[in-house]
Parts: sequence; structure tokens; C-alpha cells
Amino acid sequence: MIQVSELHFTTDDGIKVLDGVHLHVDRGELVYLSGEASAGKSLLIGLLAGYVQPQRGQILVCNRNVARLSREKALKLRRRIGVLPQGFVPMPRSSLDNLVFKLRAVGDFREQAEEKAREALETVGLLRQQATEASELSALERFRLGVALSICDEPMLLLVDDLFDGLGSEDQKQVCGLLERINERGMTILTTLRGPVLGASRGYKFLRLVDGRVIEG
Amino acid sequence: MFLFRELLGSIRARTGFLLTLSGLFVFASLAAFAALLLIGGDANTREDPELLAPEEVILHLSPRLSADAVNDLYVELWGRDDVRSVVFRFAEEVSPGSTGGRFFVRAASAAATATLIELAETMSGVTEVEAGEPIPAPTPVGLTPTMRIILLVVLVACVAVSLLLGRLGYRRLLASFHSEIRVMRLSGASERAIVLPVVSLGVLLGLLTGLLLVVGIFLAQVALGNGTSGTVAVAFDGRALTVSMAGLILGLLLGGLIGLLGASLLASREFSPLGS
Repeated sequence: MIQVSELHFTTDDGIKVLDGVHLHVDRGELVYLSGEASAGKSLLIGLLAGYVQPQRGQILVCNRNVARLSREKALKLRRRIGVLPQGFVPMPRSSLDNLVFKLRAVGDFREQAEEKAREALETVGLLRQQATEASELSALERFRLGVALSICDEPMLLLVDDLFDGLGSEDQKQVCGLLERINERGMTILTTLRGPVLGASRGYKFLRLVDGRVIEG
Repeated sequence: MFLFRELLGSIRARTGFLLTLSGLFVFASLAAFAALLLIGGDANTREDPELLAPEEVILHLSPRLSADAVNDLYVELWGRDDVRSVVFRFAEEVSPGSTGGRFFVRAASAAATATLIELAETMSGVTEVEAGEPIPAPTPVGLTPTMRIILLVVLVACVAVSLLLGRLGYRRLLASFHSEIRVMRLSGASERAIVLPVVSLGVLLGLLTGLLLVVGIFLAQVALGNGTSGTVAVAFDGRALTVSMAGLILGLLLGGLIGLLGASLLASREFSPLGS
């Protein structure tokens, strides 16, 4: 699903953020990628999702070289990748309307969008709060809504940046449980986080981003 | 259409106020533009070279008149104190296919013209007498060069202010719509799908102000047509439709420009899909 080789990235200030990253994620895998602040986790997510152009190295996502895709093909690929960015803020509307907006923006009709949206809300355990305004949701519920928003269009790959951002330690187990449940349905997931992985079950891949390189956790 | 409706739906009171104000300045620009074109003529200037001045008289001579008789008439006219000049032309020169001759007589003053006409009508061999009409009294609508310059300055200033207010309005509008834009970008929506509703809003603003101008010109035309200011009414009759259409197109262009200015804000980091 993801094949990254010899990926380098240097900022405009000359700071080497990624220094020969190699990363391999198989279809159906759930990968936790841990790293300190400013280690380049968000940059890696941006590169994988095609929002940032790589400077050197190769990135294959769904067997496509993201750096060499035409604009149309890049958009098509982006629709197959669900991204939950760091510090995600939902739209100021109800949970259901958040999802319906996204689905309608990519071309679904209202009925079809509402059906898909309810399915996604059920998957993340937020169906009972479908009419609740996003601003009234708790941090954990907002995270759930973000995940629902990322998976409602049934992408092949889910990229989550800074998994536990803004969540209490008691929520972390539930968050990991949610991702594992989604992964068990066949979706490939790569998620980054700052500290150690607390609450995750064994059997999933743990990696670390250290000094611009990905190493086994 | 869905995104355009959503964008319209996110307009709040202050944003709406700024965009309306911007629209009003677009309208003021269009009104200045229309005024320049519609009331551009100076009522005191004779624009039609075919028209006679009030002191000009044309005497049509019979083709049967002998050369001596023509000469006698010329001497008689030229000898008068109230005549400043007399010029003879063959009718063929002035109006192809005509016969006979013409005297172009210029009286010493407009007041002397009446006497000259009376005399000419009694002259034997003169078949017709043509005289100039008195110039209508100057109407107050003619534009002086100073007024033209002022109108041009107003036009440019209104365009600048409307662009400025439009951009401010867009800044507020897009700030209240930024989560939606980020989600659209995250979802793989094309840039065209995102930019199009933003630009369309500006075009709609321009279209509405352009239509307002068309209605304004129509109402002014109706009002002037019923009034006493004939010169203005004539000017309106001839150009109102052209100026209305030109104003509508200019309104669309200005609105489109405001929309593009607004869309340029979408490049800011605030709307970056992965956050700033």
C-alpha cells in the first residue's frame, strides 16, 4: 500500500528533516509511527497524501508514484486516501452535516451522502450524536467525528496525524481501539503520534521516526 | 451549485454589510461611467455640420435665371449693410442632381436675418429661402472639461474602494468558511470546484449592480422623456441601450475582479488542508 524509499527532505532554512526514509506498509496493516515534536511526522503525512512535493526519493501509494502524477490523477488518488490532520477542527455544523457536506462536495447526492454519513457515524460510535453541533462535542467525540469524516468516502488508506493530540490519557485506549476496529474491516492505517503508544494491542506494527529515519519500534 | 449555496449561507451580517457596500461602490462606478457617456455632449456646441447657424441664409435660385440676373442679385445683396458675406455655388456642387444656383448669405447678426429673409422672398428668381434655426438655450447638463475630470476621478476612486471593500468582505466570508475549504481540500476536491463558487459570488455582485444600473438608466430616460429637457432626452434615446449594456458588462467585469481578488485569499496558509 505504501512504499517509501530513500526519501529526503530539507526545509528552506537548510534543516534536514527527512534523511533517507524507508517505509513499507502492506495492505490491511495498522502502523503506529512515533516521533518527537518536529521530527517530520506531519511532513511525512503531507508527502504521502500528496500535499507536499518530495525533493528526493520515491513514494509509492497504492502503487502510484505520487510525485509523478498528473493533477487529475493526484486528485483521484487523494480521494482514495482519508487524512485526519493534526489539530483537526470540525465545521461549525452538526456531526451529520459535517459528513454530508464533505460527501456532497465530492459529488454525492443528498440521500446517498446521508446514508454514507450515518454508516460512518455508526462505525465510530457517534450515531446518537448525529444532530449535535460539533462545537458541543467532547475532545474524544471530535476525534471520532474526524475519523468518520476521513473514512465516510470509504478510502483505501487512512492517515492520521498526531493521534493523541488534545486527548486525555484515559481516551487513548478508546482511540486505539477505534482504529483497530476500523483496521479489522480491511482499511490500511498509518498514524503518527508523539510519545509511546499507550493502549494499543500487540500485533500491530510500531515504528519510530528518529533523526530523519524510520526505525523499528 | 451546492458549494455556491453553502458559501452564500455562510454570509453573516458584517460580511453581508461589507459586500453590499462594495456592491454600492461598484454601482457608483457604473453610474459615473454612464454619466460620462450619456451626458458627455456640451449643449452649446453645434455638432451637426449640416445645420445652419442662425445668421446663415441660403437662397435657392431658379435654373432659368440668366448669368446677368444672378450677378445683379449678387451685387444687390453684397451692397447691403446687414450682409457680411455672399458666396455663390452651383446647386450641383451642393446637392448632386440639382439645377440652378445657390447664394450662401451670412447676415451681420442673428437679428438681421429676419429682414434678410423677408427681402430674399420678394426677389425675383429666388425659388426658396432656407434659414438657420436659433440655437436652443444652453441646458445645465452639458459637461465641462472640469466636470469630466471630476467624474473620471470619482470613477477610479469608486472602483478602488469597491475592490478594497470587496476584499475585506471576502476575507471575513472565507474566514467563516475556512473549515469547509480545508475539508474540501482534504477530500480531493479540485481547486476549480473550490475557486469557482468564490469567483461566482463576485460575478453575481457585479451582475446585480449592472442590472440596477440598467433599471436606473431606464427610469432616468422615462423621467427625462416626460420632462422638458429635450436635449438630454435626445441624447438618452440614442445611447441609453448601448450604455446600459456596456455598464452591465463593466459590472460583470468589476464583480469578476472582486471575486478573483477574494479567491486569491484561498492561497493563504489558513486554508492549507494540513493546517498552518
